[in-house]
Amino acid sequence: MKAIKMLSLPIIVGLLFFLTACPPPDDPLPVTGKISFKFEHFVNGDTAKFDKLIYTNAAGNQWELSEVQWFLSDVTLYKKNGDSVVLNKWTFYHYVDTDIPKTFDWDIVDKVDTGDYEAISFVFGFKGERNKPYMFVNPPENQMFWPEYLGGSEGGYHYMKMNGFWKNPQNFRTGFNFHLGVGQKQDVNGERIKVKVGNDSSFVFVQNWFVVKLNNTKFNVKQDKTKLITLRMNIDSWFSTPHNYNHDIWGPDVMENQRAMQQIKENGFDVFTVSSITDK
Amino acid sequence: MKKFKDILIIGSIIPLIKIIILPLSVVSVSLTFLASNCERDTLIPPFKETPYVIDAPVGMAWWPTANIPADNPMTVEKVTLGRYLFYDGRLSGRLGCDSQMSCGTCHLQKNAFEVGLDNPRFPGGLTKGIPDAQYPNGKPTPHYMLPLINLVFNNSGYLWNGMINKNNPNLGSAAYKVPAVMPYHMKNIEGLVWMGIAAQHEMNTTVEKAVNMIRSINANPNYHELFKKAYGDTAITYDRISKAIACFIRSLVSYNSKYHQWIRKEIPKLDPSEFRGYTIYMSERGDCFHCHGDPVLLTTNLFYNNGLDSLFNDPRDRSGYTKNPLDKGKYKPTTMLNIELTAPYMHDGRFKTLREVVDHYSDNLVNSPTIDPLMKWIAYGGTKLKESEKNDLIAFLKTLTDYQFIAEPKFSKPADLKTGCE
Repeated sequence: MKAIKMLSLPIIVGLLFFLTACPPPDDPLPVTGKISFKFEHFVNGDTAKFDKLIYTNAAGNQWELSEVQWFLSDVTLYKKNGDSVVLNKWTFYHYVDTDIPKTFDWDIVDKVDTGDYEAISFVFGFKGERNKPYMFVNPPENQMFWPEYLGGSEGGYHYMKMNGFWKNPQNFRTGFNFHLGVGQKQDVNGERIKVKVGNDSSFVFVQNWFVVKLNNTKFNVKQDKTKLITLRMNIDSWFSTPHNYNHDIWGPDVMENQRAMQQIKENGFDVFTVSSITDK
Repeated sequence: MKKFKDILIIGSIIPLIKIIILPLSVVSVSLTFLASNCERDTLIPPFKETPYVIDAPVGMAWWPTANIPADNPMTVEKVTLGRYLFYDGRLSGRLGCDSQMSCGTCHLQKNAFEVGLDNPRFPGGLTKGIPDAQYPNGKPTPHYMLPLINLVFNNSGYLWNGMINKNNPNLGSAAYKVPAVMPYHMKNIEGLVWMGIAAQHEMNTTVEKAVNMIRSINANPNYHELFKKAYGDTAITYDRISKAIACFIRSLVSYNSKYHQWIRKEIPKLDPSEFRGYTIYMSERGDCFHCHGDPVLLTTNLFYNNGLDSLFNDPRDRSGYTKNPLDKGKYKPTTMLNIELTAPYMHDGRFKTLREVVDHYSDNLVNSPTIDPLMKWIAYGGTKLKESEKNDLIAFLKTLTDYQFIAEPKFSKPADLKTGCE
């Protein structure tokens, strides 16, 4: 009996502690900020001027810019410690159109952990599994339609349309459609290659999307603040490094010329720079 | 004790009457009154609208967002009323059979709601307004018409120059005699209806004449009844007329061409020539798809100079609306749907056949400072298709004809519509 009495006091006290103690704290809310993008288009170090035959590219073609329309997707941020985060929870892409100024701004909905970041990357265009025919039903995105005949089931939309004019060897101002999207595998004669699929045959397609990684893009995301990253497309770079892209050689259109699109793709790796990072 | 209870009861009766019975009586009388009112209300059926569901095949989720203004939702009743008004020549404010004109006079269902070369009133396809003292033969329309197909999915502007669009702040149009007051906006199909009724080169009437004429019609159809079903009361106004016709026009959805059935995998394949034409259309060889590629609408609804002319004097091209000289010679590309039926082609009707159109893009492009860069073979006059390629392309274009659409009874002239000119 005495033992029971002796035990009951600490039990009661313990129970009281247990019942009155504060509940264990929840996991702390992640401390986050946000990222916004601003897009700008430059030629030869200056803001692009449209509808004027005033530029000369690395191959010596005189050329004029009419419009640039393009997609980027799967923006990724890289932390100092090597971790990365893809900002695609709400929307995985953004469309930029030099004819539609409101497309120059993109506020990413995804929240970003605070801290230091070292680099940014994005996919120019779309990865194949994302680029489904008919996924866009409304303008302006649906106007980037890339025919299934040319791109297959993983090539529904242009990555980019850059349209303009150049002076051909006959000094005639004529249009070019510098378009990038899914290509077609071709033989040495430029004929499309087919493979047997069951009793049928199918064209072979070539994915031309690529990752643009902007290393040494250091910035810090602060709690409840938005970091504004201004991304610049240096349009003249599409025509140089590593290839001097010559309109006289490749002609007005390239959507069925994988060799030309391969050059465009390789020229695209260094087309983008980050021109500023500021607090918004 | 018993006495005390009796006294208590008797003594309570008077206050009970005051407290309970009197109010109960009042309530009872009120309820009776209300009940009788309710009974009376049930004799008048409440106004009930039936939402109109735009026709589209199951599983075809490629339609753009419908362009339906918030103040004019689609209802079955408005579409029905709009169908009568669309085909009623008395909307022009006239009874004479030689002068009546309806929307359906020019927009023939058999021609995918285009005028067509074989229009009985306007052979050759150039439409004219109802004659007046200034134009005894009728004022010619400044442009040949565009077909009324899938307009509900156009979010980029109506007419050849896109003048009617959601961002247009203008009220009315002096050029089309539409009053510059509310509600005569130039933002949507309702604006097109106002223009069609008022413009000198179309029905050439006035708001008042059109409304008064419709108000005067009590049979075949009884418009007062149709307006009541559509709007809840019998008031007939110009605003309601345009809204009902706009609803009917928005219901004109075409999606059952052979091509559509093929891409929906309802039919296994196109004929060999049609398929070859498809590959020309959907590749750089013919390069039709950049302007006419959207798989459902077969137009971007944007604006291009497609190499028709080198000099421009049309005040109604795209620059006529934007006032931008770089838009000289630009027009909207028409939908390729039902293109076989919608001759003559181009804004000025210069081409009468598909072959002439194909020849234009293949061989006859004309250069100008505002030529679109998509006309990239301009240095050669066009894409230089071979004869066999032209034939294949035309074979494909004919797969875009929707025979079900042009025979659909619900889009046709109502059988009981009698204008006195049958």
